[in-house]
Amino acid sequence: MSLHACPRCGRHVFAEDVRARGACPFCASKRVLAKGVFASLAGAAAFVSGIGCAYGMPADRYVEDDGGRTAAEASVGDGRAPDGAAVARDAAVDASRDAGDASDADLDASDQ
Amino acid sequence: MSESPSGAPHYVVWELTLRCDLSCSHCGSRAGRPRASELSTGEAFDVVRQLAALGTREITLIGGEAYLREDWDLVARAIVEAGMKCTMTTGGRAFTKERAARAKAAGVSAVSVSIDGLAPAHDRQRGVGGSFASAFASLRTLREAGLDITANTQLNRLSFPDLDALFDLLVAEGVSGWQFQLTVPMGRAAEHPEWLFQPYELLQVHPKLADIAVRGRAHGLLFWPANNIGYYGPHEAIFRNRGLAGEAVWTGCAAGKNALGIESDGTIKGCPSLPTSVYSAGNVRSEAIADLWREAPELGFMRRRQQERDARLWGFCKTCYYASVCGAGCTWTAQVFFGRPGNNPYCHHRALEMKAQGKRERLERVSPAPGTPFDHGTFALYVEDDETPARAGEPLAPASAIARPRRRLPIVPSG
Repeated sequence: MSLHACPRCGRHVFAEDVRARGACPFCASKRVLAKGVFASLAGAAAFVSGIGCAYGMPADRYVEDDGGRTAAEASVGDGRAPDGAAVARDAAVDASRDAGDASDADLDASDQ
Repeated sequence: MSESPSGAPHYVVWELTLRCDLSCSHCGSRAGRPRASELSTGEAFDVVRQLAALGTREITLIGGEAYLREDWDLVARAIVEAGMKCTMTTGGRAFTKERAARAKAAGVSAVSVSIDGLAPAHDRQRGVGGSFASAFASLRTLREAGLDITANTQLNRLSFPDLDALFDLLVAEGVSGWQFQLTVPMGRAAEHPEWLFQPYELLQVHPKLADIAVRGRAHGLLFWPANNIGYYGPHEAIFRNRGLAGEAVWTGCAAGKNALGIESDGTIKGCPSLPTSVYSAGNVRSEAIADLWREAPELGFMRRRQQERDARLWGFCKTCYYASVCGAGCTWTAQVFFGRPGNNPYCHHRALEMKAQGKRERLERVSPAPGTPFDHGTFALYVEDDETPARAGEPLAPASAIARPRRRLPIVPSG
């Protein structure tokens, strides 16, 4: 099973479920089908060291991804907070997503 | 025990001592005095050796207050020399220049200081006047000593209104990461149910956290949700990817799967937060950690086959869309509310589903905690009509308003 974030509502949906329903079960968007690639359950997470536990285990810091690496090993940069370049790259990704959201609205409207 | 592959305790949280110089009103372990029989230096070194052999990558030293143990930096140095990362979590009442220098010399990578709101809220929760100022002084001292500094915050009705102001202060101090955990009724926190969020209030809390995660990116402040933050709401991707673009999602409780907790007397648990009375797997004084990791059911419950894990679910979580991957979120949270795992009331998806039905859930304490470390009371869950819908950005209702429900529907059994 794999989960994928609906580009319209942000909720995660099972790929198999989307295929069966033909739309996101939470917002009814059909855009989620167009994404094609479905994320694996344990994707690599960014990693920062030194955030310990004050009751409440830090989540999935060392969860292994599909390649057998830990999140720490799969992290970007030197494992510390992201540098300016990384932030800029992520901003570009977000901008791309925002553009996608706009087209989602058009697509959803045409679905009606 | 039928299990999936046994994995390794990549991340270990180690309570070096239960002695503490604060008197926190939400302390799960009721720290203050050391335990009756804490590990000796030699025994601690042996624990380090065993963990290194098991494949541990990082050990976070906690307390009580770890620096109150005389040999804390010797243990830290042993961890680093064994090839593992050593980090610390502190209340920050007295992380002096001398202690910071010792941490740096031992090879400690980073230190997380607990900060639970602005001064009035923090000092009230920490039980010592001036502890907010001390915590920030410790941050500065640690940074000046060359250590990476991070912060962690208990999220509750006292600290939540202060998050924006605290964000600015932490950024100004050069803090590189900020971990959040929802306060749950374990230990002394069970004596303050009025501090705890009601489940429907997560509809206000989670958007604020997502906002912090995104804003933090621009300031080099990396958002880090503890395991009881979630699950699968519209901000899931932001939470699990630390405000960065990514595909990571919540994949279930890490206790005993790739994490391990050690109490200062050598008791082993899958997570340091879990109630000792139910989740103690054994003690390093009598058994090898590798044997406990491989054999003890108290550690291996999250490594069991899917069918066995699903059998633990009950209530809302049993029928949830995400049941197979989520497993009812944080085991600790469910355990301390209801005395058993498998039904987690602190869930964003759950609150959203309730709201979609015009309902909301409310927790009410039924019995107090007995007064021992990692204990908890019992709570009942009520489903009621959502007559006062909350929206993100609005202030939380006063505690008195949520204590008098206008209508009660059937109680979800807690046993």
